Amino acid sequence: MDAFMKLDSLPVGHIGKVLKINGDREDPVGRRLSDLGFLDGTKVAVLRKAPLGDPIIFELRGYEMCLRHSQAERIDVRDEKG
Amino acid sequence: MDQVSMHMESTADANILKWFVEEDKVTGFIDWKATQADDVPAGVAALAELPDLQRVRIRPGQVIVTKKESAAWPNLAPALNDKIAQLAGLGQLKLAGARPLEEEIRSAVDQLLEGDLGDLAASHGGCISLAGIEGQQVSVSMEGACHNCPATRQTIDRNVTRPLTKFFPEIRVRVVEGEDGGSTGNSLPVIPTIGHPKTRDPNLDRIG
Amino acid sequence: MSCHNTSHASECVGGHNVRVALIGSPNAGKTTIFNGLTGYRAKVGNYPGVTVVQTQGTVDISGTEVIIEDLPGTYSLSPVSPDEQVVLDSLEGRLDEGGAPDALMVVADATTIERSLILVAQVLALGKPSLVIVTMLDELEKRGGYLDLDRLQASLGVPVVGVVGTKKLGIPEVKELLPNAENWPTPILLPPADPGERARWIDSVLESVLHVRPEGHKGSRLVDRILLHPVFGVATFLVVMFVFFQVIFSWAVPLQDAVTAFFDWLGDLVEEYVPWEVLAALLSEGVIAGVGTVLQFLPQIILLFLMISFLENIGYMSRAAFLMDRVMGRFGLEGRAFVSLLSSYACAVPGIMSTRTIPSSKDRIATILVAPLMTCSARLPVYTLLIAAFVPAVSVWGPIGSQGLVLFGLYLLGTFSAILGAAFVKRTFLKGETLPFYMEMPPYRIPGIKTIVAQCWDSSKYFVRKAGTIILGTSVLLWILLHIPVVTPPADLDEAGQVQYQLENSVAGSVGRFVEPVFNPLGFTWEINVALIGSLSAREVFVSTLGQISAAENPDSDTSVESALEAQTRPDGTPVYNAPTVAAMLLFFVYALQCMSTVAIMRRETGSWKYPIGAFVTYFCFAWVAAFIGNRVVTALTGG
Repeated sequence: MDAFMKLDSLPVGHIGKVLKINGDREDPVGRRLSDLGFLDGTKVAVLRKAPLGDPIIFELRGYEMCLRHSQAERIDVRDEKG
Repeated sequence: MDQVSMHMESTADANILKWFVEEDKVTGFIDWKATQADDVPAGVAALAELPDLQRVRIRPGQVIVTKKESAAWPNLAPALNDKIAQLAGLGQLKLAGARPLEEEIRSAVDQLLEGDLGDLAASHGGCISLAGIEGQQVSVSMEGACHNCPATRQTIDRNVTRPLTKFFPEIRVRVVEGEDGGSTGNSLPVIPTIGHPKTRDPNLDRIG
Repeated sequence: MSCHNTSHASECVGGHNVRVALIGSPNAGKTTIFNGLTGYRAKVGNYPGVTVVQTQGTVDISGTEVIIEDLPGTYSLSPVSPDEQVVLDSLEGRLDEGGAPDALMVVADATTIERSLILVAQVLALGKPSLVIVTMLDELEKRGGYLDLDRLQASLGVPVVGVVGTKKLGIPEVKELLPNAENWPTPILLPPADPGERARWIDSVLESVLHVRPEGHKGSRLVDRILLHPVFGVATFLVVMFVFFQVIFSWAVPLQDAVTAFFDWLGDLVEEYVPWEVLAALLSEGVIAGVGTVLQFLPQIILLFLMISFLENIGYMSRAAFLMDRVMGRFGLEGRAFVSLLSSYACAVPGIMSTRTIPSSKDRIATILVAPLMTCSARLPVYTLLIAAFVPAVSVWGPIGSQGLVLFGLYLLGTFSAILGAAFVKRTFLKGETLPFYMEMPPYRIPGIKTIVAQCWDSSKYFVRKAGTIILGTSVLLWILLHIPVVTPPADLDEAGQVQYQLENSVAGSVGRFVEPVFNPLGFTWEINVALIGSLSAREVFVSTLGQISAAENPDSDTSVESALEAQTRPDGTPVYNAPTVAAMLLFFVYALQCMSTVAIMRRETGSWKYPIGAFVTYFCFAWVAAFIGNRVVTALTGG
């Protein structure tokens, strides 16, 4: 239950709680991810992956956002299952 | 220091601002005026150190600040905001055991009775008024059409007791008869407020 | 600007104006609000130097002129790209054009209020007079969510108006508030700037407005289970693509024929009734034929815009981009670029215009640069003519014939060249932007017909006006250049020879012969050169010019352009259009940026001449080399 993982490796159907955004918070990716609502404590559900596995659709804060693996891996989450 | 979830709202009185703070970070009651500096808890005193404040009041989940007429908000409000965030984060605005002042209760009840409830009663040809406050006991009287109305209990329950207990957890409300009724007041049991926001009374946070 | 003295209100009429910027995240219903406020009348402008398009609308509300600036949809005001920097600069008045707006309107989607408040907080933090417009309240209620607008107003410290776009609720209230925009309040305490503090501020506000998060959009989830399914989703995608091309290339044909027939009829009418012969020829061959060639593509363009607008508004384009993102990513582009390239099959102009949805400036420019390589519908008449006339119609395998294969091959060549070109520019001079890829999946929504029609009209209007003026101009100019100066041909020539002499010695003919050294290696004659130059205005002009010249030179031959071309000979008696020359012409058209409308739109959308001129020169070199290689290879193959 207490597995820490990167958001992009969270399986479809699982919900993760954002622990932190890795790397420089002030770089464009980090800043944009937090402006999109990926903030500490936010619950993110993995809805589905594209046919070739990338990108991934997440649900957070009541809306659906699609990110590529390379962005999702910046986010550490705790797997809270479904 | 904990991070505090809070925001500020202005009020009808341009000299009064109200901060809404996470409920477990700000508890209890106090009314601090520039004139009565004794017995003030450390957190409130620290807040009151800021210049140009007329009055600081604390209620569960709220910090209400009145500035002096001569002062202006633009510099004061951000300073207050930082200070409140800091003090609440340190747990210094938890005023355990502090009891509401009669004046606080009175103004809260008045506001409830003057609001939707008053309109409701008036539309039925009745009138509900505050009969008195003794400690934590509030008495309201029902007159006109409301007198002996079978819906009385439920109305008072929903529109007075519930919103009041949100702020004044130990309060009791009882109904006393109007002019001709004598004093056979029956104390209504307090119904605990439910956490779901939709059941919160719209007037609740706006008291005062 | 403002007039506070109400007793002299009459003096303000006419002189008073207010500038209000409209800000909102994509899909928040900003366009609907903008159209509702400006009455579907907007003029499009552009910021200099960067690829940001700004739409501006003006409304007169009780004597006050309100200028509404529709800023590009954005999730955040902390800029991560030059484009977003421009949005912020314009809000803070660092861009010229009339200075900073007097007030700000920010659109917040009630169903995603948790995220929308991030942008609202950033806008309020600018400390300007502000108004918050909350949209999608009907959907919020339908999905069991809740939000108290009065409390939101108290929490934010600025006016809040709820709007239901489809029912026009709230728009009148906003209109009423607009003339007084300069006096809208600013919050006494600005929302925090730090993301963490801001998040907690938002939590507190949400608590205060009694927010209940709506349930997930059940219908959308259900539809997505099919439309984004690894098998069914891809299958549906292919069907949508098939229908898309079917509509552009088949269903549009009858409409196109009707337009062509109309202009033919008009041309005949003019020739019959305009007494002065030269004027009649100019009108029918220059003006009407020129305009007709463009307007012939209007049905296709309108259908294309209708489909794109519909797919976009209903929410499918995001899904298509989602499905294609991985594939596009291989070539350094993103899913949304696919949508633009798709549109470019009809015409690069709308394709390039649709790149506005791509947030990354570099991705956007890469897409704009390669869009002209996609086989647009204007190449189709050229291909069709040359293939029909010079590629033998033999069956290769069953119903698949050689002519069809050649056409298909040309499409593939264009598409692959575009994709490889994108991969190249993204790895070289457009390298190194770390802008994250993110794309919202909006719930499926039934779009308002008015919005679709307005969008379609907006795009088509531009196409007709810009392309129409350019093509009309060149068409008339070319006709004149082919007929001046009037020369006296030697008396010993027959009638056809006299016409040929006139054409050869006209200004256009001289130019055609002047550039002969450049095109000789490709096997092009001066006639082809003239047609090539004419086709700079629009590729399809190539066909009509060649027809015009050949028909003039061979008045006895069959009237069809095909047979006139076949009859053309070089001075040594061999046919002009031999296999190597035709191959060279086809390849030349795959690469050459023979379209001034595209150049103009590239200029407008990139805000500089650097890219269009660079692309024009590069593609010309490519075209020449490809044509040269084609010519040599075919010569070797045919043993010439």
